[in-house]
Formats: sequence, structure tokens, C-alpha cells
Amino acid sequence: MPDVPQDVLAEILSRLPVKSLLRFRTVSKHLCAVIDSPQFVNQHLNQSLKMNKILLHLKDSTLGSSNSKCSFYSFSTDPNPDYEKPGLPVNQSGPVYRIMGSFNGIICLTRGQSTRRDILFWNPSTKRYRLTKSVGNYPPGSKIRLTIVRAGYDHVSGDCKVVRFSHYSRPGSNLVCCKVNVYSLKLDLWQFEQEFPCNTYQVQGHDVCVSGSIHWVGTQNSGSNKKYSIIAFDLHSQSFKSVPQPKYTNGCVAIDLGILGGCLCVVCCHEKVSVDVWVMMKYGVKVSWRKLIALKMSDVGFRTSPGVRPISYLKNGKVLLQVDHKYFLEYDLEKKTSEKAFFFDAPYLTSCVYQETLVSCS
Amino acid sequence: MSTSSSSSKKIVLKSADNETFEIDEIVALESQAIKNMIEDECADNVIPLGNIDSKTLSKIIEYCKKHAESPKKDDNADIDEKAVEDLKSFDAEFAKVDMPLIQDILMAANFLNIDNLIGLMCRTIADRIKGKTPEEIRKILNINKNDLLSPEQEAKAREENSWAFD
Repeated sequence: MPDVPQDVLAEILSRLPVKSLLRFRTVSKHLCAVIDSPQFVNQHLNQSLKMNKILLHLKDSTLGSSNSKCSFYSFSTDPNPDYEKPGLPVNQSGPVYRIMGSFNGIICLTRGQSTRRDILFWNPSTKRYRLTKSVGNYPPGSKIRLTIVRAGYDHVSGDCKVVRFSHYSRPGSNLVCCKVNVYSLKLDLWQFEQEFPCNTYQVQGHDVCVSGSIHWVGTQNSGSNKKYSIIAFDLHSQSFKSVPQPKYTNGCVAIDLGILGGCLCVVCCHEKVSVDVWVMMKYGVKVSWRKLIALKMSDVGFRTSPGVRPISYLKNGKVLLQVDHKYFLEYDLEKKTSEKAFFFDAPYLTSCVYQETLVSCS
Repeated sequence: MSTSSSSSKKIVLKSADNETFEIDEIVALESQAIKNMIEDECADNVIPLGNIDSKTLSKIIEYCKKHAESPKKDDNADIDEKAVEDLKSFDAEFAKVDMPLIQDILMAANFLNIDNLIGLMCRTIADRIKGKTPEEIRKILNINKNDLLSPEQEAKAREENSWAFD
């Protein structure tokens, strides 16, 4: 193939797995320069974004046990997936890492206590990583009430960011301050800090990053009813906003957030009736909420909280759902039926969608 | 070689070895390059393709014909699952040819600017070379000795990702 034009060669290379590319770097000076170039990393990323893989995190011992063992499995969303077992590249003694999210092939994980946390950026395809710390800085004697660490991708500046929200009160004061800090992976720096007085509010369920903003569910008690809102933190403008919710049918007792095919989802639990998955087809547009999935309680077991996470569209017109950190369901969008999906029936599992990319963690 | 009995507008393509192919215009429009020529009205009755031989050209016409006949994906309409599956299996069968022909089709598709076909050929080549060793790739690409990494550079590049060589 000596006469292949450069752009066609790059087209071919952009469809190769990362392992092959890392091997082919030794073929020639030219090929090495092509594969290492930022333009090619981007071109390969754009191909990879079409092919989701699923990273599965299994804990194979009872929760809370100090020597619980963890392992990661990676598989494609093909009907007959191959499994790989990428090993975490860092020392795993101590608390267990939790997946915060994945962005362009980089998995973001965290572990530790509220004031001091390890944050790990890991590309399981290249096996490269970066480990950093989140250390809260408060006046001595402060009472820390709540710390939340979340990760997301700011696609305006093309940067992975970690946000730390903390609620604390200064010594001798009952006034609660909310403090926001933002870490940039590109700069390897905690660089943004904002502080304002606030009411403590409850945060529950999962957070998701869609459209450059991290979203989570805020809860307010109003009488006997709970009032939910979707709060978003825009990673680029570094400001808060609120996102409109779908028009739930009556009897919604709890909600959680998810992400499916890049769209924001709300999982809504109707007591004794169903668990629904709503998808916001066009981000920020209230009328674009669409109820995609309605699971009967008989499908997932009686519950008063959602416990169902949308994971990925599959190639056979089905949607993969994770239930109660225990097992997976395949939901058929046309027949509106679900069945238990493959293999893993673990004591505790989490999962996320990612892609095989060359994107660097540093 | 006539490929359709309908009375739609015909285009004639002429290969490097002077074979002519009469095809429906709709089939020819799968090629962005021919489409541009027709739109700019610089296409004569016969379009000469001096760098594509008849074997390659007939394969390309087979591909364009199938893809022109298939319902196009439309963002607003529900995608016809069966048509998508049908096209997928056609593509899979189509790509079951030897490497020299794959390369000829790729070069011709690149010249004629047929995006889907370029993608299919690149994917096919990628699938066939992904398991190869660096030495095998050097042969395939006919790498010049001057372009080789120094032994030190190569050792370093191997060491950085030794797992990829297992």
C-alpha cells in the first residue's frame, strides 16, 4: 500500500484499536509522528465516539469490608462482546475507587473522605493515568457539613473538570457557607473558588454531565411532599442554573438522573406502578422531554426509589439498563418488554459508557 | 452494460481500459465528484475515468447501485431497521475481496469522493491489519529505510507500551 495518500492513511489508522496504534508507533518515524499528533488523536476520537464500550466495576465482597476486592471489566456493545480486564494502574489498598464519569475515553474516579480525596483520571485503553488530590481549605475550627466531588467535561474549552461543593460553617457561627472549587485537568490546577451563603439542601441519587454541565437532583421538603429540582453547574461559565423537568404523571415519589446516548435522562419512580425513563431529546428544551421507557414494578421488583440507570442504546434496538447495582436489563423499545441481560450478577456493580481513545490524561 | 430498464436519465462512465458502463444518473450521484461535474454542467455524455480499470469500476457501480436503491436515513423518519440490516450485510459481502482490489476500490472511491465507500474500505483494511506486527506493517506500507526509528527510539517506543506487543 505504498501509494496511499496521507489523508486516506489517516482514515484507515483512525479505525484501528488503540493497542494496534501503540504497536504501530514503532513502524516508522512518520507513522509515529502521525499517531502522536493532536489532529490524529482527535480524528481517532471522532471514530471511537461511534462505538461505545462499557466499563463494569465489580465489588466481589460484602460492602464495607476493608478487604473487598474490586475488578474492572470492559466490553463492547456488540451482540457477542469480547471481554477485557483492564487493571487499575494505581495502588488499591485503602478505600475503594468510585466511578464519577467518563469523557472522551478517560474515566474519572474518586475515593476518600470529605476533606481529602484522591482523584484518578484513567484511560483504560492506553493504560495511562493521572492521580491528583482534592484537599478542602477551611478556616481552622470550621464545621464541614457536606462535601460533594463531581467530574464533568467542559466541551467549550475541551477540558475535564472536577468540581468540589462544600457546605461548612465558620467557628462560632451557624451561618452555612457554600464553597465551590473547580479543578482543570488541562492545567492540573484547582483554580476557581466561589463562596456564598446558602441553605443546606439534600442531594441524592446520581449526578451526570451533559452539555458541559454537571446535573444533580436537589430535594426540598414542602409539607408531606418532596419537591425535586434539577440543579446544573455549567463548567465553562462556572455558574449554577436550573433545568426544566418533564411533566411527570401523578404519583412520582422519587427521581434520579441518568444519561443515554448523550442526552439527559430522568428516572422517575411511581409508587406501586412503574419506573419511567424520560429523555431530554434537545438539551434545555422542556417540550423535548420524552418518556422512552416504562418498566412495570413486576419487571424490576417493588420499590419506592428509582434504582434503575439507563446505560446505553444497544445495536439491536434495545436499551441496556442497570438495576440496583446488581444486574442488567435489556429493554426492547418496540415490544416494550425487558429481560435480564447476560452474565454478571454481582454483589455490587457500577458501570459507565466509554470509548477507546488515545486521549491523554496529562 | 445496461443496469436499468427505466427511462430515467443515463450517464456513461468509461474505464481506463476503454470499457463503457451506462448507469442511471441517480446511481452516479452517489459520487460527490460526478455530482459536482453534472451540477457544473461540465459532464459530457461520457465521463472518462482514466485511472480506474473496468474490474474496479464495475465493483464501484455495484456498490453505488445498491446504496442508491436503499432508503436514505432521514432524521425525521423512523429508520427502516430491515433496510439498514440489508445494507449492512450487503456491505459485509461486498468487502470480501482480496487486498489489492480493496486498495484499488479505496483509491477510486477517494477519487470519485464516495464517502460511505471510503469508510467501508478503510474499516475493512483496518480490520485486516489490526493484528499485524510492526514488521508486517513496514512491508505493507513499503517503508523506506531512512524513515525507520533508531534502535534506541524503537526500544523506547516498545518499552512505553510493552503490553501492546503481547
